[in-house]
Amino acid sequence: MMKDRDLVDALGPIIRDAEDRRFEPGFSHRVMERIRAEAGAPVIVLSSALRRQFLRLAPIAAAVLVALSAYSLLGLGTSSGQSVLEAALGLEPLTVETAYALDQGFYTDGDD
Amino acid sequence: MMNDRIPDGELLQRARSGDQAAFRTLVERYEQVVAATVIGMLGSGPEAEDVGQETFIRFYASLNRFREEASLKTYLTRIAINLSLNSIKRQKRFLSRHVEGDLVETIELNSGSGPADRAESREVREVVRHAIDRLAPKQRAVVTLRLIDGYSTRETAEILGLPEGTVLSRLSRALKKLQPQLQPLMEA
Repeated sequence: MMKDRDLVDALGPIIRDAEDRRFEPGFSHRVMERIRAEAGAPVIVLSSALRRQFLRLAPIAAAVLVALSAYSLLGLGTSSGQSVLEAALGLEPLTVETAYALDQGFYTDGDD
Repeated sequence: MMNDRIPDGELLQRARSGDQAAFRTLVERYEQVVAATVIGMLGSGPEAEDVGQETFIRFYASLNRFREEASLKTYLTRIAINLSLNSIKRQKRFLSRHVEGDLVETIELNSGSGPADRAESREVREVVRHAIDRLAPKQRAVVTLRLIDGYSTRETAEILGLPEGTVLSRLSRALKKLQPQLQPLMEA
């Protein structure tokens, strides 16, 4: 049984010399062409435009989220055993009656 | 062509300030390093060319992040290895989705073949390519870096972000798989 070091010495040159590992001539030219093409690609313009729009709209969306959560909290309160999160999301309190009501709605919607 | 004696650091600075000729010189200087890695991993052909180009495009995009703590050669090899591993994953997913059973092996065997050479050297190349393609991708990466690119175990570990012990055990398993397939070439 050959040791790993001997195998490296025996197989290394065979593997190394088996193949010509070069790109076709003109490789650097093709790379530079792709860089130029990708630099001018509309996707980059679109992504920076989207980022600008996101940064503009994100604070407004966050403010609306806070306002709606506050409205839900004030409107529903947490008295009916709801957690603060459920109340903030404006979820109806979950009782046996509301569960059955949901179920009925589901089946009647599906009937034609 | 820009002077080959200009140090990498200076070319990097020029490239960062938008000098495309400086970046092109870096591509020409390291093209062979990247070619050895990606063709070692994938075999020669359009996939290797594409991964080679992508390696330099990623490098171009990260010029300002490259802090020169590692050598440029190591940095590019790391990008090339990671992109090659991704490409192998994509190929395997594609083959397993679209091609059945034995055909997968035939396609894997032929995918690395380049322009026709003398029959004997082509045969040697295909036997070696086939043996390398049968290795698990992680073992293939270690074999490429250690046996083809000539990196030491420590450098290989650094490029792959692994402990040296893991590199040695992967190399050992890979050699044991390669030995029976390449035995006829060892005896020739």
